[in-house]
Amino acid sequence: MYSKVGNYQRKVYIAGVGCTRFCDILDTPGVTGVTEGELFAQAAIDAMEDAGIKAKDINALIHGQLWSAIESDYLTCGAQMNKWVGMNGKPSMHHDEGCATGYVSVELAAQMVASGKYDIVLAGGVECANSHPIEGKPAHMRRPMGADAMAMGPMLDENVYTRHFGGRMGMDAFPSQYRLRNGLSIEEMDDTLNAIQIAARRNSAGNPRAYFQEDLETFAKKLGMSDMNKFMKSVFNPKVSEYIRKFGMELRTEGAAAAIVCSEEVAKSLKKMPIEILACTGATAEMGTPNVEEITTKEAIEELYAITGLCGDDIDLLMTNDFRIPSQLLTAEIAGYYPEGEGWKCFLNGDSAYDGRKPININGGRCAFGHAYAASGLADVFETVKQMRGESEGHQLPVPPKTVLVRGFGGGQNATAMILKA
Amino acid sequence: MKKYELFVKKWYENLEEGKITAVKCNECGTVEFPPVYVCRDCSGTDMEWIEISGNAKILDIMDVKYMSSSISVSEMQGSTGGTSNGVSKEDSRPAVIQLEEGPMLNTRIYGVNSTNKEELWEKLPLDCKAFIVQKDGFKTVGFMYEGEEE
Repeated sequence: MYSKVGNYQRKVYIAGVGCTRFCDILDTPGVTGVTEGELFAQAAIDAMEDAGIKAKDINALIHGQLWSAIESDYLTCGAQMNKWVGMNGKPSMHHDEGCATGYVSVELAAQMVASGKYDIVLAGGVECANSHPIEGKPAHMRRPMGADAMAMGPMLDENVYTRHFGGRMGMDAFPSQYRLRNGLSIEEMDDTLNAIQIAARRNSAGNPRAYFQEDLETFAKKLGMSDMNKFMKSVFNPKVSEYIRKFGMELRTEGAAAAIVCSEEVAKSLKKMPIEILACTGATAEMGTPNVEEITTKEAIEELYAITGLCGDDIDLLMTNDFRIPSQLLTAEIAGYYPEGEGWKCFLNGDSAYDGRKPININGGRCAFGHAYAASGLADVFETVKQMRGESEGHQLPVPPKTVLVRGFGGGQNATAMILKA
Repeated sequence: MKKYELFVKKWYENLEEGKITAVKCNECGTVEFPPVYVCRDCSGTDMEWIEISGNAKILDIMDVKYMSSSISVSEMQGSTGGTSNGVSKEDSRPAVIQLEEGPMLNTRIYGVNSTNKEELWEKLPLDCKAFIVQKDGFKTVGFMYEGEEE
């Protein structure tokens, strides 16, 4: 391990969570016209009410947003959020670790509470990843976000120092190497990734906050196809890279999520079952590093298990950022949740679905629930806490999980891992 | 106060002079490309500029068409031109390469396209060569597969 990580100085809990629906602002009736501030506040207020506290009880705020400079007209956006949630004048900080932001928000809040500096911290993330402010117009007037606004073109090969050296191996390097390592044919790898996609959409079906609330079998039937094997390899789900098909790519959406992180004393005084944050770890490598997701995920999870004394057999539910669907396979095996080299068979057996033997991403994950970048990690924490309490609307696991591993990954370089314990 | 050399500016200025450069750690000999202040192996900060040979090995190649379910690489390439030094990005693929001097990196390899990608992948590792790419107002580095030696 690269770093030495010790236990928290005092126990830390999540007392409340909130999450908006992940959708397109411009295309969703009742949502069109919402601004980042309102989205953030909706999730934050839901989290406060869930915990049974008010803004005046909270000591500090952490705000995460990835594309604040592109998709938002806010200057020092964290401070704007203070005002939206009734915390004007209190300490706040804004941060961005790409798609890992929401997971890092929870870790930062946990550190602030564990140190004894604060008793209650609000961690929240918001992202309007499909629309863009219109210059000179009020914040509720937005336009669709296109390739020009994403400003990602130059990242493809000339930004040697600010992003990477032009190669985007992250999507396919892992499935390619996994296939060769474990002797899978190209078709077996394709079937495995398709099985993950099908399970992800089964998991998001019935989830009122998910972008897709319909499973792929139903979707296929509407298109006149009942053979799922044929459907998953049809023109409706084309390969977008060597291994990954369209349904296995992130679904960019807009939304917000939040969590109330607090001390043991506070948690035990509140009305809801407190969920303990046993430990959080992280590892970062620059995106130009070959196999960056595997390297950093291994580091983060090894540290997590070293601190907690847990192993894969102790985990009841795995949540992992899967903006490329192979990330589920990568994380499940590194975490020891699925057996090394055999994980692909678990997915083919349907183990990752809500009614499977070992579920993964019970909210549907980034390809089905949706991906509102900085908010996604907190949406995973929201789902985890709700499942542990037995409160998930429309898609509760029959046996609430007691020990959950949440792995974050984002920006092509930051991996995080945390254990939540009921 | 210690005066730091501006590595990024120097790296690009060297390219204008036709030199592809890296830095070598004077404490352990590790080469960093592109140049950075601190050695990844020994944490040393005494770095010496070197001109690299440009010789490298292609370790892996991938065929990526889209960045996300909604925006494609070609759309984004369209927003910034879509060519490098007259070489179409259609004629390049994401790759892992290793420089003769040691560093490994994710990058793009030119001279690989949908026609020859599969055949080349079977033959990995293959030789490639760094080349200087003229962009709009500056130069950068690309890597080219030039075919197998006769």
